[in-house]
Amino acid sequence: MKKKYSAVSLFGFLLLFWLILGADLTLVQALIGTLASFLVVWFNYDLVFNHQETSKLTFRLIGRFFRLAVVLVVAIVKANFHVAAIVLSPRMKIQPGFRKIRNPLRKDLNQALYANAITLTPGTLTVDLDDQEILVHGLETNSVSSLENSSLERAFVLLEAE
Amino acid sequence: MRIALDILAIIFVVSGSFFILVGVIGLIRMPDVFCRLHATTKCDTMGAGLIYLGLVFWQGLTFTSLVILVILVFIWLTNPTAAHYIAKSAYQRLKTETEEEDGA
Repeated sequence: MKKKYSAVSLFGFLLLFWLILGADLTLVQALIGTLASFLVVWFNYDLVFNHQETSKLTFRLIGRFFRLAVVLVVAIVKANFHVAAIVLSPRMKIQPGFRKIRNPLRKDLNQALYANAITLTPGTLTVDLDDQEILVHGLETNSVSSLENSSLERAFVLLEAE
Repeated sequence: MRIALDILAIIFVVSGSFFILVGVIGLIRMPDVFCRLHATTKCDTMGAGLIYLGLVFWQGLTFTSLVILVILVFIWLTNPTAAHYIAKSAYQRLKTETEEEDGA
């Protein structure tokens, strides 16, 4: 039942994607897009996310997603100036090393997004993850622990909150 | 108005190029695989982002700029994923190498 729900949202997503790439909105275009999206979802039904892997798509989730996007963009901008300052300084002061942090998320899709977000935040790079912990490489090893309880982690935890 | 948008576009494209240049310098200067990945992933993301945003300003609000934004989302998703994969395989290699040294 839940799987049908996410299959339908995947269909809508693919159709929207098709229409954006198609540039001109004609009836033929829309019909071909509908058929193509339907076939893709049908053939790949076993790959469609089930409810254990992803949060339910609601308006509240979309709102939380936008909030997350803002936090993430701020983190990306900070990360770039951080890396630029290190790279362009004549003597690079770095103490690289690995550190494990807790993984606060349960759903697969959110975990993947969180791992990617960590890579884009200042001085951190995701190396490996499982359900309990994330292995992170840091340019300054001590700064890795500050990821726990950061605004980024809170924004991600909100994605799974009821 | 047109000129203002053009100037904004130029500023964005130039600063995007600057961050990509920083990424390349970092790729050369950093000591090992993981540190190099730090430089390239972050600077590529923001560099490409700024250049594409500059193109959006230059283009104005049309369908094409919507497509550019879609491309941007894909770059922001694939770039850290690829970096994660490289880092993971490098880490596994590091682990087996140290284990072999300990065994010998």
